Amino acid sequence: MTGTLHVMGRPGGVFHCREGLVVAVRTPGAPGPETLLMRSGRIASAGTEAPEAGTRVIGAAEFEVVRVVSAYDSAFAIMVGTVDDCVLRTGGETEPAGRGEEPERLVREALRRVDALRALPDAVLPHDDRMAVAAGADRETGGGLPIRREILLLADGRRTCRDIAYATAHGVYAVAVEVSRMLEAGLLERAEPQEPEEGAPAKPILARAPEPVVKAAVGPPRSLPRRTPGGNEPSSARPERRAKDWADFARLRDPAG
Amino acid sequence: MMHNALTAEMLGLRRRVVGVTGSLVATIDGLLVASDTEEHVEADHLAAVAAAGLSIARRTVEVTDRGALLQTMIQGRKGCTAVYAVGDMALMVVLGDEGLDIGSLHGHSRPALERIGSILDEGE
Repeated sequence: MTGTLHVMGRPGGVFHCREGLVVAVRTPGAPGPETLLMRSGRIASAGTEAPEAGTRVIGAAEFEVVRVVSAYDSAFAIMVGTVDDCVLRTGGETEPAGRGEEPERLVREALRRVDALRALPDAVLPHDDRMAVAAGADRETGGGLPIRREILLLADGRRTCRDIAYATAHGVYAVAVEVSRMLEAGLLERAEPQEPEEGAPAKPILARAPEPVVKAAVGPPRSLPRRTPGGNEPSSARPERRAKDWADFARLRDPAG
Repeated sequence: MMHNALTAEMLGLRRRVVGVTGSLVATIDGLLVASDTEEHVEADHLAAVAAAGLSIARRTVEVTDRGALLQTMIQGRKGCTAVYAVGDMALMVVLGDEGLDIGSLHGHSRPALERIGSILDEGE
């Protein structure tokens, strides 16, 4: 079979198949080979023809290893999430890639990883649980292992394991396992779901002022500040700085003046 | 209440779409109304820059007769920035990493934009 298997769900993804083999797995839930190589500094960027100075050019064998690693990690990411539906589209072009993986082997390994993660005492949900550093844990030294230090530096209460995997160029499975162990060790905790903060009062959106409005800053307290045409900032913001900026600009335009 | 309702919409979008890292709502003049962005993102600055970009995009669709502007997409090496028009008076910026599924983002953003438009209308 040659074609694509689209998995709808969260995160969902696409298996690219050629002649019965899976040649690529793409999902928003796990970094692809280009991301792994670029974020780790092994290539300049995806789609860049000429490598930047100081950037090592990788060989075909190394790319093939990263591609296979990414395919297994992506399959895990799809299967550890929710699957709502699948659509098979046969024919068409498939991604140019290496020899491909046997689908049974790919799925078997992905399920093994799902089971291994869920068997951990404090298993994390890689795409849903947002990580925060536990009270008392030291961001700089608390992790010990390099990957733990990276996780501690990135655990800001907003990021999931998947987000950390993208930022560190690690696989989602590796990050999820390490995060689960760190949860158990008391280094991390699950961030409480964020609730809207009591912030700015309700303010209506106002139309752009048709004329320069000098008194915009003293409008009703419940209305947004307006920009004045030609101005660079809200009329209520730092008028003294704006005047200085314009004076500097005038000098640049006319050094003699 | 409007601020809370807008923030709730942005939090919901980040939870629903894998790869969204933050978002904000601003006036068409680039003044920040509400934001859900990472610490290192200067939301006020981003709101102003996004408004300028959206203004140019509006002119572009006008001179090319492409109809009403829906959104602009700016893609970098480490992710993308989507700027959506919210009616004629506001905009929403959505930030994503390189794994973000653009189609999924657009699919989830459309209903969110309608709700955000209604929230802003009610606030007027």
